[in-house]
This record gives sequence, structure tokens and C-alpha cells, in this order.
Amino acid sequence: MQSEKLTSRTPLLLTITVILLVVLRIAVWSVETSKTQEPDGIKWQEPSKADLAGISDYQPKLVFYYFCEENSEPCRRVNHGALLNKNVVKLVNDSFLPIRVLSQPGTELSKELQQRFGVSMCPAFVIALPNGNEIGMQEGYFGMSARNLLSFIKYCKQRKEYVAGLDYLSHDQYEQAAQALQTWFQTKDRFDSQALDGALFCALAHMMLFRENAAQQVLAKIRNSQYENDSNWPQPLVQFLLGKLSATDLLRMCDHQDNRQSQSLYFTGMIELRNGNLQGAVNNFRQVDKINEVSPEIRSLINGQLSITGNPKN
Amino acid sequence: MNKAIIMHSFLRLARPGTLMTLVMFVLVYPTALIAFISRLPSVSFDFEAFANLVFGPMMINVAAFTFVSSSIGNTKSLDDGEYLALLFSRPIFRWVYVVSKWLAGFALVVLVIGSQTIVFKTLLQLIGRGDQLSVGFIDVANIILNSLQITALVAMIFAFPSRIGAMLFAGLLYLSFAAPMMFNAIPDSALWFHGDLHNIVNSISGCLRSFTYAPIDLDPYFNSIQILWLPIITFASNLAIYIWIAVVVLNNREFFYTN
Repeated sequence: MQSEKLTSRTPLLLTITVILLVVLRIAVWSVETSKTQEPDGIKWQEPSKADLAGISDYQPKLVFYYFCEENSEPCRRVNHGALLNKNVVKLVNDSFLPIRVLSQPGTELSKELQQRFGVSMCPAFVIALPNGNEIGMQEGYFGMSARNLLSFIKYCKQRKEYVAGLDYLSHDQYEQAAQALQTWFQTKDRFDSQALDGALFCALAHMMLFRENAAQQVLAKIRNSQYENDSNWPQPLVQFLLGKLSATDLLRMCDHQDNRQSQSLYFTGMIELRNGNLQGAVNNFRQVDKINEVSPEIRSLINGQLSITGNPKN
Repeated sequence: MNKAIIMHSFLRLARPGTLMTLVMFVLVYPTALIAFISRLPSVSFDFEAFANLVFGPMMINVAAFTFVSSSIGNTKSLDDGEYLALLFSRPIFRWVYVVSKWLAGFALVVLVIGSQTIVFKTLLQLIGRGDQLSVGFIDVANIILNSLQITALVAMIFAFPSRIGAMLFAGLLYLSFAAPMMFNAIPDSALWFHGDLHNIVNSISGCLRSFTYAPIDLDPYFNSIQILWLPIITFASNLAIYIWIAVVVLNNREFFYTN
């Protein structure tokens, strides 16, 4: 019994260490939470009304929005973690216009900006073109490490070409669209679904410029790519652009799948437009209204075309 | 630190049940994950996704609870039954037992997570997507530090008698994560107390969370424009508190050995 008492003693050194560390923890925590001075990191700007309409076409930098809340623990962690990373700070200050949108009660502007980009939780990062078109968004604390934030920023810098390409396409600026989309899918290491979409739109832009050879080269890349899925989907669209499949057959092959149907209706509409059949094109674009789920990209492209052809859609 | 206790903890791995779980962790899980990933050629996974699935703090948690939990303060259910009572009838300091078990558990967890990562990385390389996961010095250091901390947490929880330990664990998880999440879903206007209640609750749960789950990431310390002291102090103090509580609890438990 005596020996058990001797072996059941808590070492004094351990107890003292615990007390010291707890005191130190409380002290550091109170110092860090009472800090009001921002570290000399990202040079944030306040949001303005101009952000709602898209800042400016003349401002060449991409816009880096950071949506955060004042008393939120996850936001505090991002502020003191990923946003203090020197690579993130340098990249954001050099290549972006950084705007911090602080979500506070009574600030309508921050609410409107959140609605505009569909931000549902803080912290969130949105990277957009100067005209306000969103390139990419990342929400929530999980996965918000400096390394992930850096790869998100780099990805958005690449994807900029894709978003800009679609923007040009919706404004009938086919030359610029082809150039931007070509840059986009050529920067991708693997021919994934995003590179594939870029290549399809690029081929379409070439077709609209009556550059059959250039379009065929791009389409050949899609045909030779290792991208495969069960239904071999993009191949019917490729066959249609090559003139080997009729529009009716293409739409029949969509197999009642909303995304494929809307994509096919856009492509067939654009080819009708190219052939000078304006009414046929508008009819195709309008059929998209009957489809439940349409991707925002196709929706925006069709809206752009309808507004150009004088048939704006509500 | 007692070499015999450490060796005994390692020998426990040689039992059929534990070996099967080990194979599941090190071989079956990464292979299944790779088979799933190879079916999605068009989807790019980011580093964070891979890290969380293979060697992130959550995975270390799972490994620590699986391999270490049963061997701290509740060994009656094991094959060697009353060995803890027999051990404590010998002149062995209980704090030495706790520290030895903690270090043995830490080594086991690092071994399991390390092997799992190596298998995963090799298989990823085989399907031609090895470039999507580069494990560097900082990641290895993160695995080591997080294993050290999480094993200490497991040692603390399972130093209590099993029922109390389970309630403590569930209670801490509930108060740190589930309760504030549910509370934050209630709008201010629906609360009986109008004031800064949300902030108070969030501060308390944040404090508890920093005690229950505070994984460390070394990446900011190598690349930050400012040194972050709080996570370092939190890490060190958590480690000391876990071990201290485990020692105090085990010192106050009675183990009777009757032949």
C-alpha cells in the first residue's frame, strides 16, 4: 500500500509546467485578441457601389474579394493564417485588386455583394473579372490553408481566360474568344471536363469566323483526348460541329439530360446563326426555357445572344 | 519511460484483430480510395482533399482512437485481462506508465499513417496522378506533431474509467462542435435573452474547441509574414494538460490484483 502511494504521485515538474503553459496561453490569447493594428500584409480596399456593377473594364487587374465577419473564429483563423502567408500576400498585392467585404449588421452593400456572387458563408473568397464576371469562389474554413488558397488563386488566374473567352463569345467577339479559350485549354495539364468545355467553345468561335481548318484542329484534339465517360458524351457534339451529324440527331442523342440538351441547343442555335437563319437560332435559344436545369454559363451565353439578336429573355 | 511497456504496446499489434485493422488502414483503404479516384479521370482533387483523406488530423484521430484507446486505462476487455492491475502491483510509477503508453501510441500512429501515406502515394503514382500529392518535410512534421497531440488526447480520455471516458469524449465533442452549430442557427430575434449571447456562446465553444481539437499546421511558420505564437502555445499547453490529467486520473484510480 505504501509503495502504491509512492508510485501514484504526480510529478511536481509536470504540474508546474502545466500551470506555466496555461498562464502563458491566457496571456498570449489576450494580447492577440486585443490587437487592433493590422499586420502589413494584403492592402485591402473597401467595397464601393461600383463593385455591384463591375468595377471597370479599364482596370486591368482581377478583383479579389474576401468576405468575412468581424467576430467569427474561422475568419480570425484565416486572417492569422492563410492571409499572412508571404506568397499569398505577394501574389494578391501584385496581381489583384483586393477588396475586403466585412459582413456587419446594417451594411446593405456587403449583403448585396454576397447575393451577387451567391456567397452563403464566411470566410469566402471570390475572384472576378474587372467587369464583375465571377471566375471562381471558395467558401468555408475547411480547406482554407495557405497552400490551398495559393492553388485556388493560381487556378483562377488560369481560368480567367475561360471566363473572358465565354464573355467575348456572348458579345459576338469571336476572334478574342477563340484566342482566350485556346490559351485556356492549352494551359491545362490534363484534358479534363473544363479543358474539354473550353476546347468545344473555342472550336465554335473558329466556326463562327468561318475558319473550318482551325476548328477541325481543335476538334481533333478532343477526339484524340483520353476523356471518356459512359455515354461518350462530347463526341456527338464534335460530330455535329464537323458536319457529320444533324442537329435533330444531336438533340435526340441528348437523352433527356438537361445539361446536354441546353448545351446542344446553344451550339445548334449558333450554327443556325452562322448559316444566316436568325429565326431558327432564336427558336433554338428559346427552347432552353423549357429545360429545368441549365448551367449558368449556357444561360449567360444564350441571354447574350438573345439580347444581341433583339429578343431579350426575361 | 519504460521500455517493457513500450514493447508490450507494440506486441499488441501482432494479434489477429489488430493486424486485420492495420491491413485495412494501410492497404485496403488507400487501394479503395485510389480505385475510386481512377474512375474519375476528369476530376482534379486538390492537395487539401488528398491530405484530409490520407494523413490529415482527422485521419490521425481515427488511427489514434482505433489503435491506442483500448490500451491506456481500461484493459479488462483485452486478452490479457487484468494486466494493468498486475502491473501496478509492481513498483512502477504511474506517470511513467502514462508517458510510456503515450509515446508507444504515438509511434504506432505515425507508423500507421506513414505507411498509409506511402502506399497511397505509390498507388497514385501508378495511375499517373502522383503530381497531385507532393508530401514534403512540412507535411511529415505535421503528421508527427499532430500524432503527438492526438495520442495524448486519447491517453487522457481513456485514462478515465471507460464509461466516464466515453461521456467526457461525447460531451466535449457536443459542446465544442454540435451545440454551437445548432445555437448559431437560431436567429437573434428568437432568443429569450437579447444581447451578445451568440458571441458569448461562440467564445466559450471556441475555447473548448481549442482544447478538444487544435491540430497544428507548420506551413504558416515557414512562410508567414508574422510569427503566430498562439497556436504554438496552444499546442504545447494542450499536450501538457492532456498528459497531466491522464496522470492525475490514473493516480487516483484503484487497481486491485487478486490471484
